[in-house]
Amino acid sequence: MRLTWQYTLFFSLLVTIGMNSLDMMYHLATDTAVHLNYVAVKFTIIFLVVFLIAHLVGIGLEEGIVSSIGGPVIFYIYYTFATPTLDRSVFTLDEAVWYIVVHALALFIVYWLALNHVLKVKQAPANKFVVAASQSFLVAICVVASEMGLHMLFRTVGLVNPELRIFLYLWYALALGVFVLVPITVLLYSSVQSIKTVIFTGLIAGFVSEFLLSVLSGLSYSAVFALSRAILIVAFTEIIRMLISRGRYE
Amino acid sequence: MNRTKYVVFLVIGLLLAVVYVFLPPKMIIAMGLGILRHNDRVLIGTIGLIAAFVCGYKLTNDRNA
Repeated sequence: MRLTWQYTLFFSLLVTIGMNSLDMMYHLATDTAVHLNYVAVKFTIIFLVVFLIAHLVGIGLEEGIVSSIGGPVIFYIYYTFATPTLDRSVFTLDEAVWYIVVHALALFIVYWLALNHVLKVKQAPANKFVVAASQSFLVAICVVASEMGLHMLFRTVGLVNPELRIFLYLWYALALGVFVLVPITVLLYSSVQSIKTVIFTGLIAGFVSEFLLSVLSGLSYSAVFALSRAILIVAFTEIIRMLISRGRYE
Repeated sequence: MNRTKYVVFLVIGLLLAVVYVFLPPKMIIAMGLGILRHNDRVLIGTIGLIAAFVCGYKLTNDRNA
């Protein structure tokens, strides 16, 4: 399958952000460091591999498998030869060889979902609820990844954090994912997909999830985070809707 | 792009990777190629490696098609 470079760009962004989200949640679950610099390098390498293969060769199952293996292997090579910026006797990182498998699996899951439940929706209509749930899952994990990035950028700057990881916990990320997943699934399943509905749902999901998470976690309520989350929900939902409707523009 | 350009990018990418990723830092500096910091050089080499990998896959894919 060949897309124009703009659609390939959005597809690659969706896949890379989703992969990083699953990866960061795995790190939180296994108590390994989640550090902005490492996430940034990982994002860059995985994005370049996915985008260049999608743009120059195409998008499909074989391309997905090659990207899923190639990206993490190249990332591991970078890790091996770069000078550590963290004391690795203190901070556990994903430098073990078997982490290649974890990264490859995370990348392939997201690539496969985006391929089959976003790009191929028109060609082979599947169970409508499964499609809506898959698309919502992609939106949710992308919002989680972006929020983790925002936390790392703005909330941990200047903090003396002995573990050098963001102060989000796994349950925080999972709760956030669910708070985004549920309304978006209902929205996409109901087929009411006008831009106004998407914006309205995004705002509701953004502010309600921020309120609930602030109550649950004890973090102060942040209208900026609520609004940024609403914008992210709308943006990622629109990217998926645009990828589905790519045929109109080619 | 035609086949020749992919081969050129493959070779350039591999050269970047060999020089900036796999050679010891002291040797790179002795050769007069010690630009930026070590990790920046490794990242440049890694991008070369990505270019080589993608071009290699493209060439293989075209041959099989």
